[in-house]
Amino acid sequence: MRRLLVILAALLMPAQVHPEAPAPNTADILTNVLASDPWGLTGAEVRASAILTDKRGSKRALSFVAASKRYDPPLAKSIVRFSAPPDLAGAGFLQIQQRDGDDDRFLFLPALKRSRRISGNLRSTAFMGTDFSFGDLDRRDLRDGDASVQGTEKIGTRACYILNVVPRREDTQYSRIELWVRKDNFLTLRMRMYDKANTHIKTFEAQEIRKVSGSWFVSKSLMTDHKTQHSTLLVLQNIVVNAQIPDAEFSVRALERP
Amino acid sequence: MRRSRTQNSASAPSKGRDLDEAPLPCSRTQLIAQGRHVQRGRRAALLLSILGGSGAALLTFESAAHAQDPDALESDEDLTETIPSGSDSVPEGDLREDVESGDFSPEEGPPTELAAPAGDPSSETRMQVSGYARQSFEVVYGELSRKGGNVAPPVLWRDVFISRTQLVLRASYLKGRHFEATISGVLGYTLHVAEEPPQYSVGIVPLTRGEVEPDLREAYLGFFWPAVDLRIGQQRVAWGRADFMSPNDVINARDLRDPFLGETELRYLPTPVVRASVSGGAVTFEAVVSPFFVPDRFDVYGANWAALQPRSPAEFQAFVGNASTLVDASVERDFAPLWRQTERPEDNGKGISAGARLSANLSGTDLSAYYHYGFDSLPFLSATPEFAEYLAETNFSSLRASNFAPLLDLLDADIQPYRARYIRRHHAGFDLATAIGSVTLRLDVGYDTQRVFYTTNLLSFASPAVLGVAAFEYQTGSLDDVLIIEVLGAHLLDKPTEPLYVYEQDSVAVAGTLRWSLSDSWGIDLRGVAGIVPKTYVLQPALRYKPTDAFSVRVGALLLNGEVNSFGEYYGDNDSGFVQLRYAF
Repeated sequence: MRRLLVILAALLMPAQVHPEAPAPNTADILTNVLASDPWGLTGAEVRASAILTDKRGSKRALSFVAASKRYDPPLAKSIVRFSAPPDLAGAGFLQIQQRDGDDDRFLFLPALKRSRRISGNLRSTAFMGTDFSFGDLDRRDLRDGDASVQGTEKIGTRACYILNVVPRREDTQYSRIELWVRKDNFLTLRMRMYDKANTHIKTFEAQEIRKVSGSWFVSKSLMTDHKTQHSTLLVLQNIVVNAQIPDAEFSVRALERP
Repeated sequence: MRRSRTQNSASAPSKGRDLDEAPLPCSRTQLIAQGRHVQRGRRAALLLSILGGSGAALLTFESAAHAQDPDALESDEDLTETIPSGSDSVPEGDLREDVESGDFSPEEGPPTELAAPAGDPSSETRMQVSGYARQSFEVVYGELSRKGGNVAPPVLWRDVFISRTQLVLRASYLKGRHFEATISGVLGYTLHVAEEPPQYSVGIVPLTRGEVEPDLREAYLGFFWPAVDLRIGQQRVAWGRADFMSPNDVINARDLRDPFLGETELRYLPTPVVRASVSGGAVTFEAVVSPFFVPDRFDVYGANWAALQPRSPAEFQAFVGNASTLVDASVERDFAPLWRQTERPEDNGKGISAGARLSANLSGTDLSAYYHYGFDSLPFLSATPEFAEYLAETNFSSLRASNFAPLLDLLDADIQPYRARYIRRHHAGFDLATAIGSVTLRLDVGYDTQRVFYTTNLLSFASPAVLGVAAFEYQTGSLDDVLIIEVLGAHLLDKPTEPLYVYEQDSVAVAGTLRWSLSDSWGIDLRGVAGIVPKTYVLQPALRYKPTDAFSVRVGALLLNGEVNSFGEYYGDNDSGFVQLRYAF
């Protein structure tokens, strides 16, 4: 009797269908990748260090504090203040991403007590001597690129989409970028960059990720330049998710403060 | 009872009783009572086989029914619900995950928090201490090479070797984004070595002279609000955008005693200033008030970059040289700065200066406009005809105090024979900066209602003047690889009545800075200015070695020359080689 009642109830009750969610399309994946903030540069305050290692094994350490804020997603403003090494201590860097045209960038040098405008199209050049180029950090190649899903693969225990992005901009240094993007949080765990001759020149590997207040960050990562045999280990030591930094903090006036 | 949880699809392998083989139990309780493992998926499969319909909906219903049934938790029989490996589930809360192993660990240290909302910024307090130690050695081979043959000793002191030792310290106390207290200073020791004493010296004088110079540089408090900055105290206020010389950089006086081989930041003298900035969007208005006048710091005589040089009018050299012997050599260096001026604005409000700057950082372009009412920081020199007559008629070769008696007579007659004073002027200017590709363009133009220039008889000529700089900076993204070219122009609105030192009525020069890395540790620095009108040059090539971030060595030379009355010709005996060591911390 009980069994009959169960069957009847099953027939009468509306089906609560919970179909498995369809796999996102390429555009959605890329949108989610751009919405992520792997280095805390689009809506957080981070205290970080970077260990630069050259081909001889000599190391150099940078320490900095960065604050950032999205103001016109996916565009963001960010301000970085360096505390180490000694020749960079007190220097500051301000970037305001622009949708069209070059980003606005300013550099403050304490010896000059002045901020200087930095060319915003130096996308392929290294950021403060690291192996992260300005283009790697602002991800404009991804924003203005043609993406396609090449498959899936696990990194560690996590399933990832493999994307291939071909930048459309002429000033890009890459012919294509391969990304391994985690399916659950769209965090980029690996990138391979290829130059215009389609030679694999740089690799980005996430070593540790952190979830802070619901947001995921790549807290330890290694960027390796295979041409120069130089690498940068970027470590985010402290992350504060902050979407409410005043706009006035992203100005030349604020850059010239300590 | 052991319980494990497993989430299964209908196709997951069974780990419990094969329900297809056994008679159906009447209820879940009966099933549990039999002590068997039951899987939700197998239950759903059973229903599916009975109904022959869509299993998904029924599975969901059954699972829901099961979950809502508290009786399902009562069991003395094991229930296994396993979660397959490779699941994407992530624990709640802040955590770290090792990418390679997938292992989670809780956040270390104090939990991170959402930052305080706008208007209540972080209250983090921190101290910043930094500085550097610098040692430089200069061999003035221009002076050494002058000594060939029967060359008379210099009229005034000329060094052939200079050692400068400096310790620069800077400390800031910062409270969040609201408050700053900064103090900085320099402790310096300069050793001057001459090859021979000057003509105007008495007795046996030491050829080596040392100067200890403690110098307070910055000492100010800063208060910051979202739209307003206020800084009060002795500070550096850098207006303008050009590097070699900015026409709009008029707030701070300059230290002209070591114009080419000194640290860039030490070229300007922090001055007591109240400075307030207010921002509205992309526009910032800044007001600056300097209650006290601080003039440029320079040597009148007795140093290689002093105002009086071997090419100065002989009578002035003789007059000053003779006067320098009136005091003992041990205090002569303390006495020498008095020559900079015979009067200066008083510190009772009469020396006040004020100015304003309006800046806009627009997308791609930065603009600023300036106004300042203050003093030219160089003294205006004037002399009466009686003084000129006195200089011409006095035999200063004999070192006698009575040589100065005629001056006292002039003073008794209410004739001030010689004045060095500071004149007021209005300053207005503008600048702009923009980037085109990898090149940044800067324009810096200023107009002064009165600007002090010096004639070849070492008196002053003041004229309204326009100075402008157009700069082109090629950027590579690296601070160690920079090329800057600046075109400088000056136009005096009044025609000089006498030939001038350094300037003509229309002067043009090109200045440049090249900093380039040859390797990770080695690089070249080349700085210089080439005058087109008048013709002159000052070049400073150097080789840079920087084995660590903190330590650097520069080895180079300073070369000057030019046509008569140009800067390079006037200071042409200062060709030198140098070694500079710097350690930052």
